Amino acid sequence: MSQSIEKIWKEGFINDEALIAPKLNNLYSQKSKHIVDRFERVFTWNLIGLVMFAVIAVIGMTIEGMPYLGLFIAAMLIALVVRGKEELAKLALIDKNVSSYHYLKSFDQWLNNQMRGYAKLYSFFYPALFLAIITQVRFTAFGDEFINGLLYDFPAMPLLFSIPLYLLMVIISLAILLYFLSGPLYRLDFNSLYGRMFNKLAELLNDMETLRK
Amino acid sequence: MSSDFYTTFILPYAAIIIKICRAYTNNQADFEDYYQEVCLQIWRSKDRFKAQSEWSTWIYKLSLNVCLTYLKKANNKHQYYVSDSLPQALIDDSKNAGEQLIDQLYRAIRQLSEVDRGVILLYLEEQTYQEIADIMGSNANNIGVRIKRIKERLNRIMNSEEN
Repeated sequence: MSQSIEKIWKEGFINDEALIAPKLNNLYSQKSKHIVDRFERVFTWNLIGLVMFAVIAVIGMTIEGMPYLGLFIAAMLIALVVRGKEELAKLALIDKNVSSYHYLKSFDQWLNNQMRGYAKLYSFFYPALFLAIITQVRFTAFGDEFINGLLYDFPAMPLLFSIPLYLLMVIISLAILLYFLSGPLYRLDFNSLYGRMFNKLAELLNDMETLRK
Repeated sequence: MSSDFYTTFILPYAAIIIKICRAYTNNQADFEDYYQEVCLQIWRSKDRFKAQSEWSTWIYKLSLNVCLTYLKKANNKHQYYVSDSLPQALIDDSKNAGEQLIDQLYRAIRQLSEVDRGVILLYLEEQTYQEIADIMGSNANNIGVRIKRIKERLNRIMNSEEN
């Protein structure tokens, strides 16, 4: 190659045709494909979905004769919405007007923080939901029937709060298992949705950090 | 976005955006998407511009940040820029030597990592090492070393294409 890349660059754009700006089409209706904007959009829709689900839970459970369970589920979903709104506010603070490294680092930090926060929240959310459902079922005709059936088969089984002890131990063990599984399950779910983006971010940050060393 | 804003604050700097977007895309459709996205983000972030730097430097920074973090769909891989996808022997003769070489250079730049593409584009646009370091979040010494390596790699790629 006889010419330097600097010379090629300089001479390559002498003809202005190479630098004609493309037309902008329907910019108002265009959805941004930028990572931060997309996250904001998906997040907002998730929060709207949670609020709708909370309303449906209250109405549905009331119709089914379980208003307290409905209210409990709604309260937990609203707690997730509040947390989400806080995260959205933090996301809006990420400034694109900084160096590429700091910009990527801020976004990565936000992603990790919100993932950690949600994983912790879900660790309580799933076991609490499970226990609430079990408690509500206990006070239905089906619950009575089930426990009476158990006591009929195993009359010597000790009781605690009118529930067979071994059944209570199984329920508590399942709740504990859910506590430990909720975080990893949330992360797995999150990664399956945004894995490609995570990989891209990790790769870019790795390269940026090498550049800084 | 008002057309006034576009005409006054973006269009005069379109060359910068075009040069950067082209290095991050393989085909015309993606290029137009990137260009549109950069314009959208400039408009959205305009209130955060602080007059500590030149508007043009800010455009470089924002364009790079957008290109680095754009969520590209993995489609249209089969479409390429009409000129620079063609083998050397088939390149349109109507293009002058300078245009053919710039296509070749772009092909080589696209083989670099996303970060290296940003560094070399800023260098070719005659930004100082310090300016590049400020935009990328590094320091001038490291940028100097990295540019030397990138140039060597680009020369190797372009020479191998010629042979």
